[in-house]
Parts: sequence; C-alpha cells; structure tokens
Amino acid sequence: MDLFAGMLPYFIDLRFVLLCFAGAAAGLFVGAIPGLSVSMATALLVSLTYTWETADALAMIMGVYVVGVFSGAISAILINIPGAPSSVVTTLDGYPLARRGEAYKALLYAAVYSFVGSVFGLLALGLLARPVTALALRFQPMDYFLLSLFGLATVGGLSSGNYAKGLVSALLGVFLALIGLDSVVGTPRLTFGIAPLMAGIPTVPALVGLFGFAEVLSAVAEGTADGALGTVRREKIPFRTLRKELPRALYYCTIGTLVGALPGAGTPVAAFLAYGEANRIVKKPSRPFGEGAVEGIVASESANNACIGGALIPMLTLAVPGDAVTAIILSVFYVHGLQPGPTFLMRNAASFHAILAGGLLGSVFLLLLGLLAAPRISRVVAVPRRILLPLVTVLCVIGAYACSNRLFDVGVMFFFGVLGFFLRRRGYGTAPLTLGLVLGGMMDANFRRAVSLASTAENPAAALFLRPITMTLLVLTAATIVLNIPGVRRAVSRLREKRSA
Amino acid sequence: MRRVIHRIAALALAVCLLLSLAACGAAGSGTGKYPFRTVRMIVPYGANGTTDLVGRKLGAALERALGVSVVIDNQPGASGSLGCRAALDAPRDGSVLLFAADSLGTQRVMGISDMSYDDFDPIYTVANDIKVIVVGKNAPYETIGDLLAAIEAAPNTVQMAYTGPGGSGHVQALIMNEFGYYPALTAYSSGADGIIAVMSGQVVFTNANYSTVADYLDAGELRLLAVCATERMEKYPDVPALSEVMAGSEALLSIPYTPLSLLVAGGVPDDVQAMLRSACEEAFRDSEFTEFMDSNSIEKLYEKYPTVEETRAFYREWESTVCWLMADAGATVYSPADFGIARPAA
Amino acid sequence: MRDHLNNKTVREGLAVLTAGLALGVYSIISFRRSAVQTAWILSPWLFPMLLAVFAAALGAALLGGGCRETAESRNADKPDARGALRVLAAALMVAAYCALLPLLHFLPASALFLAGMMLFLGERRWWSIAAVAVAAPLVLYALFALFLGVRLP
Repeated sequence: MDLFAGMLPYFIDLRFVLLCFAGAAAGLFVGAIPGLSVSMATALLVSLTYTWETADALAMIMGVYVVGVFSGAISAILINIPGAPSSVVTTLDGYPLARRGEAYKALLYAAVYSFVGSVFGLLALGLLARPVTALALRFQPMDYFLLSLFGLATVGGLSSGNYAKGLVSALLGVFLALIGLDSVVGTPRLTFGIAPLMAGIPTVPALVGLFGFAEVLSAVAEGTADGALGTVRREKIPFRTLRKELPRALYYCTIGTLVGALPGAGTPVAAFLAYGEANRIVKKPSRPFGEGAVEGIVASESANNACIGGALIPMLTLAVPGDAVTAIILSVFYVHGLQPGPTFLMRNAASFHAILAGGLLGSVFLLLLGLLAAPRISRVVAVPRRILLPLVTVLCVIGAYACSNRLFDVGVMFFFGVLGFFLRRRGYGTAPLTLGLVLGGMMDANFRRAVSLASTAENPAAALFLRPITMTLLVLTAATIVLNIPGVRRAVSRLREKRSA
Repeated sequence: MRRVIHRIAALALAVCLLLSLAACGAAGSGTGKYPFRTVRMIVPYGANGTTDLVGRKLGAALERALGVSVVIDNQPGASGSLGCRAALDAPRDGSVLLFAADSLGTQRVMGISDMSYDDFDPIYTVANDIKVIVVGKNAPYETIGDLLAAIEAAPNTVQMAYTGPGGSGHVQALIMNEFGYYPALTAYSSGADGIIAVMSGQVVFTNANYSTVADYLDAGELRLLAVCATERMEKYPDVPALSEVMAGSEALLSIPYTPLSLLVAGGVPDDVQAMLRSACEEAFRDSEFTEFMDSNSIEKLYEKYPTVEETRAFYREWESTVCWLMADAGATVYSPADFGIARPAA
Repeated sequence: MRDHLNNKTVREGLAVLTAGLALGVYSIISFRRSAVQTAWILSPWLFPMLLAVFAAALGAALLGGGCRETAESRNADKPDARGALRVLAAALMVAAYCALLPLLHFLPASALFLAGMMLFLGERRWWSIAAVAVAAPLVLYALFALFLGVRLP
C-alpha cells in the first residue's frame, strides 16, 4: 500500500504528467523511425535533463523508454524493418498481417498488449524486486549459455519449415557475432585483417539489412511492384475478442519480466522465447504462425514490454543494467547523485516511486498514442509499392548510417540484405540469424567462464551441470532439439495418431 | 475536448523541437572555440565499476568547472584496450577525454595492444581506489587467515574473479602468488560482474575496489576480509591490512595499484591541455567531488603527484614495478625489456 | 549420385559441412599461433571450435535431408531468370547509390536514386516521380540532419 501512496503525488502532479507525456511522444517518434533507437534518445536526454530535478528527468526518460520499446513495432509491422532487436519477432506475424491489409489490427493488438506487458513488468518491479533479484542471482554462467542455446533451439524450429536449416541460420548468426576483438584476452578474432571489423558486426545495420533491404529485394524478385502492399481495412474489433488473449499474455509477461531481469539477456530473447511458447500453447491460432497470427504479435509485444520492468530490477537492486537503455538510465542516477545497489529501495524510496509512476503513466500514454496513431499510420501500406520500395531503401541506408555515422555500416547493411535475401529464398529464415547475432558474444563469454570455473573443481562435469536451473535448461534444450529431428517428429505424430484412433 | 488534445499535441511537438535543438547542439561539437558544447569522456570499462564511478563524479565536477556538458561514454572490453584505442582514434582537439585505469601500463607486455601511457598526455592522475578482499555473506571464511589457509591447502582450486589478464585484479593475484598463495582465476568483463559472481556463489572471493562494494558491505551482502594495502581503513579498524598477514609484502602493497587518470591523446594542443588542468584543479575543490572521494576512502593521487612531470615519473615507476612483477611470474607475452622498461631498482 | 549433387539442399549441406571443418582447422591453427598463450579451455578459439562441430553435424543433417527430398519438392522452386536479373539490377543500383553518397551530397544522390528506382519499378507518371524524388530526401534530411542532429553523408 505504501507503494501506491508513494506514487500518488506523482500521478496528480501536472508537471510530472506533462513531462512524461512529452517523453512518450518523443519515444513514439524515435522508436518508429528505423535507425533512431531508444538508447540513442535516452542518451540525448541524459545530457538535456542534467540540471533538472531528479523526478522530472525520470518522468521524461521513463516515457521515452516505455513508448519507444512499443513503437519499434510500428515500422516492424508496416515496412518489415525492426527498429531494434526487440521488435524482430513482431515482424514475423505483423508484416504478413499488414500485407493482408490488416495493419490496423496488427497495430491495435501491438499497442494493447504492449500496454499489458509494460504494466505487468512495472508491477513486478514494484512488488517483487527482491525475490526476482534473488532468483536472477542464482543464474550461473552455464545457465546463461544454456538459456541462449535454448532460445536458438526454439527459434530454429519456428521461422523456417526445415529445422536443420533454421539451426544453420542461427549458427551463422553466432559465428558472425564472434567477429571482433575477443572480450577476455583482447586479441582480434576472425577479422581477417579488416580493421573496421575489430569492433564487431554492428547489430542495427545488420538488422535493417536482414529485414528491410532483404524484403525490398524479395519484392523486386517477385516482380509485383505494381499495386500496393495491401489495402487498408479498418475492421472493428470488439473488446471481447481483444481481451481473449489476456490469460496467455500474462504468461508471456512472466517470461519477459524474468528474462529482462537477467543482466545481458535482454528483450530479444524474451520476445523469441515467448513466441516459441505461443507456438506451443496456442493450438488453434487465427492464422498459422508466420502468416499473420495475432497471437504471435501478442506474445512478442507483451514479452518485450514486460522486459522494461524486469531490466530495471537488477539495475536498481544490484546496479547491473539489464540492457543498453537501463545502462544509460543508470548514468542518470549517478548524475543526480543516486547510488543504486542493495540499499537503494530503502534509502531512495522517492526516486523508486517516481520511476514506477513515470513508467505506469508512460504505459497509459502508450495505449492512448498507440490507439490514436494506429489508424493514421497504417495508411502507409496503401502507398503503391513502386513508390514505397525506393523510399524504404533510402530509409535502410540512412538507418544503417545514423547509428554511428560510418559508411562501413551501410556496407554491412547491404551485405546482410543480400545474405537475408538468399537465406529466405532457400528457406533458412532470418530470425534465427538475428538471435544468434545478438546472443553470440554472451554465449561465448559465459561458456568460457563456465568452463574456466569448472576446470578447477574436483568433478568438472558436476560443477558444470549439477544444479537445478542448469539441469532444467539442459533438459529443455535437449528435448527441443531431439523432438525437432524429422525422424523423431514422425514417430511422435504416429504415436499420437495411434492413441487417438 | 478536441481543443485540449490539440493543445497537448502542440506542447508535445514543442518539446520534441526543443529536444532536437539540444541534439543539434550535441552534434555541433568540433567547431568553434574550446571547450566545445559537449566533451566526451571515454571510460574504457563497464558501468558501475570503479573507473566508471570515479569517472562519472569527476565528469560531473568538470562539467560545472568547464560550463559545458561532459558525456560519459562506456566502451568496455579487452582489458580496457578498446576504449583507449577509441580515444586515440578520435580527433585530437580535446573533444574526447580518456579516464583510464591502470591496464594501460601493462597492455604492451600482455600482448593486448601496442598502447601505453606514452601515447597519451596526462592531465591529472586522479585517484586510487583501495583494493579490498571480499567474500559472500554465506562463505565459510570469517577472516583473511581462514581464506589464505584454504588457498594454501589446495592451490588453484579456490575461485577468484578478476577482470582479465593485465588488469589490477591480476596483479593482486600475482602478489599473492609471490607469497605462495595460488587462487584459481576466472575472468569477468567488469569489476561489477565480479562482485555479482561473488554474491551468487560462482566464485569464492574477489579483489574489489572499495567504493564499488561499500553499499554491499553496508547491506551485509558481502563480508570484508582484508584491505590490500599497508594500512587499515579508518572505517573498518578491525579489518587487517594484507601486509599484516603476508609478511614481507609491504614494499609490493604500498604502490597504488589502481591509479585512475584523466588523459588526452598525445598531440592535443597545449592551451587545451592547460585549460583542462585548471578545470581539474577547480573540480578537485568541488565539495561534491571531495565528499565522494572522502566517503569512499579513495586516495587522492592528485595531491601526491601535482605536476605533469611527477605524474610521468610515477607512470614510469609503476610500469616498471608491475610489468616486471608479471614478467617474473611468467604471466606476460613479451618481456618488459622489449619496450625499454627498466627493471625496478631493488 | 549426380542427381543428388544437382539438388540444392544437398549442395548447401556439403557447403555447411565444409565450412564447419574449415572453421575447425582455422581455429586450431589460430590457437597454435596466438600471441597470448592460454590453455585450450580459456582461449578465444574454444568457442569457434564448438561452433565448427555443430556446423559439421548440421551440414550432415542437411545432406541427409536433401538426399531424401523427392523430385517434385525440388522442382517447386525453379530459378526464375527474370527475377534474378531484376534483383541483380536493383542491388547494383543500391550499391551505386551507396558509392555516390560520399561523393555527391545526400540530397542529389538520394533524388537520383529514388527517380531511378521508381522508373525501374514501373512508375511512369513523371510528376509523381519528380515530387517523390525531390520531396522525400528533403523531408528526410530535415528530419535527421536538422531535427535530430544525425550527420548524413
């Protein structure tokens, strides 16, 4: 109850609400334009809000953060360019929906369930920060590695018909992530003497290429540049239909919050895992997954927004940022003389309440802005493709360039676009590659750490695996892989038929 | 109702505009007279390590002194060499500062990079964050004696988190080796990650910088076993200094092992350097900054080495001691002699 | 045998298998030659080695799967020569655009590219080409360079 009493003054403080709204509006704008990221916007805000009161700064930053994570879905749905890794999963079903002329529906679901996810994550932050921290602390390096592997094993089966092909794509992603200076010894690895590669493959240009540019090339190949992407139908969706996904969404939110609380795992993993679960638990999706199932959008958007609250937990209680944006928010704290850590929640209750209040207000603005913007923005798909495709290409180029002002990144975008085009054509899927690219570095570091820790133990195998979390993840990963082997798959379905007969 | 919505929208737009103006300001650096509107301070380690904490505090104080915004840019990785390289690659006009930790002095012999203190011009050596040995609250070791006995009884099995080859944690481990104690080392990407590793029981102990663990000690999450110096800390009169339990280690433990320095790439104009020095002097008088230094028991190296010449001499002595310590232990890739680093006078 | 070698999946399987083996060999050589000598388990090349093993296994799996593919499923994706040409042309245009960006300014390069690409995709109304080619770069430029302070080439 203290919690709500603590937040109340902020809810009725007009200045706080307005600043939060301003942040939300900026977040909507920044998140929806490929190449502008939420972390970039927060970084700018930090220098702007330097002289402000702490609460004012937090209001604006939380507004940007919450709405920015959602609005990545807008470009993902409308033009198949995920603005950030977290919205990659949204493209899988969102873009097909837009092509069917149901962009409005896709955006509506994205907005509503992003709202649900944000509120869920923030409430978890408010009520369960301590237990979640304790749980996150139980994760060992091996567990981080296995969690990533589990994510890759799941996604390999989702976005392409052939499991082996999906895994090849994921593997390629991990391989590409290893390029650059090694994080432990500091020697160049797999750079083949190309100097700009020392810093590694930049993620956002690669994403823009894999999705946006590859889509342009595919459309050109099909030769269907006449006509529009889709017509815009504004069908009315009754609240009762919209509400139906709520129970499952809460499950995705739980996944999102937990994964968000693991430092370094971050939003894309949460979205992928939730999507994998959706594939498992939704028996009769409105359309097959990958062809425009709203259930897929619900999974992705509720999980990635629930990550916000999750990522803030270790940032506040351990001073370890869960993702790029929280790392920047952390610096806001230092600038304002606050020291996150185990005693933060007790010592700085006022700031804690300001964060929660800002986040919850931001969620409300997310819903408002999302519902207001969806019908207007969804008209984009009605633009004839022969005009839209060139524009999307220019956006891809700018988006790749804007991240760090290097022409090299535009080259990366181009390379990944062509790569993505061929991967898709041959049924390998680009989503597994994305996840591999995002997770590869973490997998490498944690695997070596785990081996290093175990190498000095009396029984190395026991030190590696004999822990409840590790065993669970190991079994889950192994089961996912085995059950997806074609032979086993056939045997299982035969068994099922027998039983039902 | 409509009108209200319009007004709110207009306000939002206005704020967006303001924001973007500020952004233009941020992008407009590099022209005009120094100090530019933003100065970027690269911290070559992750957020919330000791380098980051002190760097941010100094950045805030410098901001007040210079009257422009100082943006902290964490570029962690590869024992700090990635961030140092970025500082060398940036335009040499003073728009990019480097807040380096000690690893800059050891990277050459470790084969990590070809950079050293010689590639940079010192503005000031700012701080030495005292190293302390901490274990988790549930660890079976109550005193430093218990821990050392355990390490001695089973060499290379008691796990210690450190920040990679050539880092200050590595040097601490080597000093322990000198006296017959061999912990098993595992690398973490930052000091903060190492602390988490101790709290979650991945490793037994770590050699952390005091300011990064102070809060955890207050909260009882970690236990302080020893101070890696020759004197006890005022705040913890009951916790022994490491030199008390490792006889003969006074000489090795009296050196500041984590000197944090504000540097610029060599070749930055002299007047800019002078301006930065005077801004630093102002920052060192800043009450918020000194309060932070005092409350975290951080050694003020800028008082110990007030001139550029003394600072350079300190770097030379430091390089020689530490590099040869590591070389004699067989932990380096190249001999310090290859880079003209003289063996310390015994 | 020849029939199998004509199958794309089989060929890709072979490629993945070979790439895995190559990565394995490359990792071993690099490990031996690396300047900072560490134990195998701590070296940067441990993880690439693991990847190499996975890649080899997956390559074998693809190969096996490809051999079992039936003739019909293979004919499903017959290469479309005209489509391939169109993609090549589009890719070349984008490459030319990227190359022109640092030489010309962002505005003229983009205008040229937009006009060319729209013509290529079959837009014939000159006024719409002109409008988009001029307006879009201007709007984008205003948005990014002036509003958001992102430096464009």
